Amino acid sequence: MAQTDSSHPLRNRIKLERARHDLTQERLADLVGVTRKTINTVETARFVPSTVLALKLAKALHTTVDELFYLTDEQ
Amino acid sequence: MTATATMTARSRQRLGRMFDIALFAWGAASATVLVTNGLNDARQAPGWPRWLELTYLIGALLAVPALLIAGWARSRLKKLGAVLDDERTQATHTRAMATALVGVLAVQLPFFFHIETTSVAQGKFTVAAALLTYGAARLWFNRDA
Repeated sequence: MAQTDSSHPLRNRIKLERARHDLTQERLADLVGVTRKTINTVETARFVPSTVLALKLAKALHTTVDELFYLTDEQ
Repeated sequence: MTATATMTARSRQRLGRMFDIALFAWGAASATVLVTNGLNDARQAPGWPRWLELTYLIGALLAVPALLIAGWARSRLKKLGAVLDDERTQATHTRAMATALVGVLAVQLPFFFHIETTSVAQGKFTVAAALLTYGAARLWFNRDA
């Protein structure tokens, strides 16, 4: 299941990158074709996106997936 | 972002929430009807008491407009260009279905303890539990962060 809570080790820099590109959650959602709430839940680590969505987010934010997402406690 | 665009975004959020609430209202109304019907079957009452008829009427009055509002909100959202379904909404649906399954199984528990009822009434309780737990779970999983 891709949905999770904030205790999941996957974190991201979406909020930072959004701010850098002056994008709102709504605008980013429009760019990648998802709902604003999906962006919000990915940003707050409540939802782990699929590879496709991660790639779309990275492309929209002019960065790479491994720069956008990282693990806090790699096993 | 312009003020108009912000208002549109807020309208979309409000309409999206309204859609979920309307869907839940429809589920709750249907579940109410099923439960009262099931209770009546379980009691094997000869006729419909007035209060049960009233519940049916209220259920129908809630269900029909809720369904119409949900349909209208959905088409309006699509016209606004809103994305209604994505991988998170699909995951939410899957989780809500799993919760509904738990609800359906939980509602069977009393029937293991020699509770005498007809299979029709049990069926109605089961469907009511599925509707209610699915709707409630959907609202919970779609809550704002």
